[in-house]
Amino acid sequence: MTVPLLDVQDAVVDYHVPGRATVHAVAGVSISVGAGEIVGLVGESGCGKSTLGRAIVGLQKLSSGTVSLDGHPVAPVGRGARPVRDRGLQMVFQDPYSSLNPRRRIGKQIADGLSASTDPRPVGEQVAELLESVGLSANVASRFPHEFSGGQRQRIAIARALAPNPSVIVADEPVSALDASTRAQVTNLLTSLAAERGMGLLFISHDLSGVRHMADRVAVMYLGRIVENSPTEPLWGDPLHPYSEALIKAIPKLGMDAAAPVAPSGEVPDPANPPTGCRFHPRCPYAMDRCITDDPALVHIESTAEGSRDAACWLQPEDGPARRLVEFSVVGRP
Amino acid sequence: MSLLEIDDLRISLPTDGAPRVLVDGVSLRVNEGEFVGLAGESGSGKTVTALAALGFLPSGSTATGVVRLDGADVLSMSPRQLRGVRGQTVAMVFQDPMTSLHPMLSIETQLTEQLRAHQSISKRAAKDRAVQLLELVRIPNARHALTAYPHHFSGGMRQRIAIASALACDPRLLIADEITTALDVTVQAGILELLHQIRRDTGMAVVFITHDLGVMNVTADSLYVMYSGRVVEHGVTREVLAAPRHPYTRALIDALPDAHNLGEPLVAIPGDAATAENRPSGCAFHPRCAFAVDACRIEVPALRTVAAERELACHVDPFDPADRVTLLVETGA
Repeated sequence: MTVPLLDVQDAVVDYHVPGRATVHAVAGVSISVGAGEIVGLVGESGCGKSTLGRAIVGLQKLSSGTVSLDGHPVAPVGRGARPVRDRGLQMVFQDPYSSLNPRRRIGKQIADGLSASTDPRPVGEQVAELLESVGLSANVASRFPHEFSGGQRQRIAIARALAPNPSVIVADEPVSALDASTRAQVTNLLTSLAAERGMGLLFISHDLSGVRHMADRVAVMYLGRIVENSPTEPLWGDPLHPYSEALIKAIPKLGMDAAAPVAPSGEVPDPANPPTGCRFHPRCPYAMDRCITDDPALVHIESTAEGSRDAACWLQPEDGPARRLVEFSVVGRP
Repeated sequence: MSLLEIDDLRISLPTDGAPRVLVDGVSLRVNEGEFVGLAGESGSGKTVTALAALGFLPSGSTATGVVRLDGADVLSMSPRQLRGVRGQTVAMVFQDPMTSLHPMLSIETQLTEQLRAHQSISKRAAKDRAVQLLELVRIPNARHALTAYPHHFSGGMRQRIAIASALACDPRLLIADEITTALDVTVQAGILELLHQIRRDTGMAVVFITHDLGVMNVTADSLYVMYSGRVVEHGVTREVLAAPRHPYTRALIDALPDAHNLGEPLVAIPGDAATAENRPSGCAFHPRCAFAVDACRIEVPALRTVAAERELACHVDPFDPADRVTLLVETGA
């Protein structure tokens, strides 16, 4: 097996609020992204997916655990210049209205990232090429962000992220703020960039249909933990973790005979005071006694043609064979 | 007679030059107990149209046409008459429950204030009614929740409280403007279940505004698709979304990631959405439409009935099922 480009091991991010219990926003997460691979990271708001994304690029300090890019540890972003190696890891943010500097011409903002480039060609030429690679015309470099629509701004933000020729991009809800028609353009752009440049993409989103469309593999996050990590289509057809199943059943679908979306019972618990055992057990329709006391680890369950399927659930025996949740839904608890 | 009847509504804002037409000749019907959907991108005029049902018009705008709520003409009502209608016959829930609830007032104050304003009801009775409302929207421990403030609740709970507040005076029509857009998909499913339950219990009608066609498909009985201030297609929701006739409706569906287009690039709609300031001549969608002919650039297509329970505003009608049969026969397929 090849070494993944981006490798996160046992990442923990704590938030300390004076006078309150420490919140483990990310509570021991391992995840990897290979070359040309698109990994979706999904979960409800507050599950820690954005915190994890920020921790991976170094915007948020890890309390413990490691992030490595191409085998080398990634340093947190500080006041000094980043090691050139770490510039291979870039981020695209949700809101292109606040992530671009309104007072600087977009060409200059894109050129910032070129200082790490070893390309001998003039900066203007490289900026033009970057603009064209995101479907904008090269002669807009001297304009300001307010002269562009939301979708165009997000493409400028992507061009800026591409400038240091990154091997991995972390994109946090990059299309959520966009209208339906521009959303499709930016989705297609990210998919083709990953394929053409062999670039890894960690795509953080709460839009499961969008993730299903783009991602090769999906990690499902709940209260700071990854509960399932599976290739996309097996996950959709046959989720291994009850929380993955709950998320999929809640999506409203198109079609004449689309079933009504189903809401999982209860609400997301307070992350400062997570439930004992499996964190999903109070909302889980299949919960057993063991789930209340013992915390399941994310382990390999089965191998498929598309790759390994991992889950953190006592229903699923380590190294398989995987059990089908649909069968339990009929008879109730196993 | 329908509960809400809007006929040829036209709302425009005067400017130095030509007036900006925000809503251009929209007609729609909402029957008792019906879920009617308004879909379209931002700037399509769906919210402005729905707000007209409450007599709310953008400031400085002029409106022509008819808005009839339960037989009464809303556009000619006095402010006093409007106060009698708002909250009582028709109520509204907004997208963001953090801004639609007052952050400094307890839930009890916010729920009982309007009960006391609209009905002659004692403090005690208003409080009992508030508890009832919170139970209706499934807030656990309702009596205790009355003493809490909005920040004590999660986003989904806040939206339930906003719905409870809208339901306070038993409105017959609820305007729900993107009420699930800011919520997680799991919480959204709960809110949609709740709306259907309220309809079963009270027979309330809902005008449901969203740009999310998946949500629309599982929620609304009938659907109006709007583009640039005009209705371009109208019909039974699931039929419209399963077999769209207007090129814009079809383009919206093709741009959507769903089971039907897995593994293919999404088909983005070229160009930018038309705005009221910059509306193209003729059919406003023509610069982005793959099927546009000369007539589309010149003449605004009228909304006409093209099949049972289906209205369409398109000169070309490229997805006419009758034509497709002919085409299949001709090509021998």
